[in-house]
Order: sequence, then C-alpha cells, then structure tokens
Amino acid sequence: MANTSKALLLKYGIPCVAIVVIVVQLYNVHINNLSRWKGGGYGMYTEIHYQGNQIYITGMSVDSLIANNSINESFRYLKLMPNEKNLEEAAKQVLNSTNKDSIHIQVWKPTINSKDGKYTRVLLEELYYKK
Amino acid sequence: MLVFMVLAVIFYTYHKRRDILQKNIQILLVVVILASVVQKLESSQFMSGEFYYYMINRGTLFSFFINFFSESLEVTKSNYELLKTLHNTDPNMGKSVVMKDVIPNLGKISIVYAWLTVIMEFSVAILLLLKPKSALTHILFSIMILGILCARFETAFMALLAICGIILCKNQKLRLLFTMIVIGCVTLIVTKIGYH
Repeated sequence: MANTSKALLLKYGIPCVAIVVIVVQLYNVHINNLSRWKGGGYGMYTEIHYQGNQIYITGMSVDSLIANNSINESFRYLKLMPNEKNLEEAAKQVLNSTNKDSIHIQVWKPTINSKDGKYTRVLLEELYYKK
Repeated sequence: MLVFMVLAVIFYTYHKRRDILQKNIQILLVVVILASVVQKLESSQFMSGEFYYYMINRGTLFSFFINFFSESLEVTKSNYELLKTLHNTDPNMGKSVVMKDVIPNLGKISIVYAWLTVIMEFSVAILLLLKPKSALTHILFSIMILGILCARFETAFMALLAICGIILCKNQKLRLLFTMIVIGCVTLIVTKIGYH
C-alpha cells in the first residue's frame, strides 16, 4: 500500500505542482493583468509581446527616465503586469528621482485590426499620483 | 517546463524507474500543451488572427522565408518604420497607422492559421495523454515541433520538446528524428541563430 502511494506520488507529484503553477499564472492573468507571455512554454505567442505596451507620462520623456536602473526595472515590470499597484510603484519611483510632486502615468496596449491592417493603441491603465 | 523536467530527472536518480520518469514527462507535456491551448482560446487577439497578422507583417514570424523575397522584406521594414513613428507620438491623440500585408489575404489566412494551431496542439495533447507510445502521436508531435521551428527559431523550447519525444517514443526512426531535431536546435543555439 505504502509502495503504491509512493509510486503514485512519484508519477503525478511533479505534474501536479506544474498544474498549481499554471493555475496561479492564469489567476494572475485574469486578476492582476499579467502578460500571458510570462512563464514560458504555455502562454507565449498568444498575444502581442508585453514589450509592445507603451508607458506614457504627461510632460516627461520615458526614454530619458529609463536611464535610471530602478525606474527601468519598475517600468519593465509595469509593462509585464500593468495594474494599479504597479502603476503606483512606478509613479513613486519617478517622483523620487525627479523634482515633480505629481504625475499622470498611463499604460497603452497595441491593437491591430486584421481586416484593414489598422494598428493603434488602447489605454490599459492610468493613474494620477501626488506625493 | 524546463524546471519541472529537471525535477523529474533529479527524482529519477533517486527512484531509478524509467516508467515513472516517462509518466512524469508524459503528463507534464500534456499539461503544458493543454495550458497553451487554453491560453490561446482565452486570447481574443490570438483567436481573431490579429496576433499572427501582426507578427507576420512585422517580419517576426516566418522571417526565414520572408527574407528570401525582397518585396516582402521591404514591406516588413516599412511596417516597422510606421510603428516606430507612431510609437513616438502621444497615444492620447488617438493616431493610428495602416500596416501593409506581406501576402494578399493575410487577415483571413491568419484566422485559419490560428485555428489550425489550436486544433494541432489540442490533438497532440490528447494523443499524448491517451496513446503516448503510438507512432502516430509522435509523428504529429514532431510535425508540430518542426512547424513551430519553421515559424520561428524557438530552438531551446523545441529542443526540450524533442527530448521529451526521445524519452517517450519507442520507434527507433522517430527517436532518430527527435535526436536530429535536438542536434539541429543546439547547433542553431550555439551559432546564435536560434533563441535560447
């Protein structure tokens, strides 16, 4: 009996852990706006890559902001999982490294219409943040 | 996938039972491919063909074939420039650009291709679950791997899938095919042509 349980555990233990990981990832996709690309192997090539998301900050150049490593990292994470929590985190990072005391930050997602080839961007999330 | 495969191999050094290793790999493959099918079915961008349409017109899928034809290459380059120009504008202005098609009727082709991808992946997953040692299963599995490699040099992941094929398959010719795929993928990775 003990041997049967052990064999079952060895046969199905690792796949069960994989299922748990996939369920957590799918939960994050639906609830926390995680990109389907994250995880690798079971979600890649299902939507335009999250690097195609665009961060826009009114009155600031994002390209010059990403010279700062911590801002670059929080922007990368924001593109990967564009939700309110990560927007706030990115906004705090930007305010800490600039003289501004308020910020309007947005994340835009690319969309394309395959019937007429029209490519545009839609607003995913935005935040007005004050120090 | 790689992490779980490595775990299965580490456990194999403990139990030394090939049947358990094969079961681990079989179920892992089924779970990963089915999860991929679910993600595709849930993604409106994928099922409407918009994802493939974008990727092909950008030259990031089938680039190996597109690069052979100078006209198609020019189209992908011009599409890239269009997107770059748009990216430099304020998205609040609501501007858009119109991408040119690499081949005629790409919109319709992309929808068919998206559905074929889902049907193929689902069939392979079900066959791997029900008939993991059947030659038909592994023929379809190898076609799926080669099909993905034709679309894009996802060499590291495809090598991983081919290694799973070697572990599960009994047919010597098909095992040789999987081995050739692994060698080919590793060569492409080493020469920095493939992705790792």
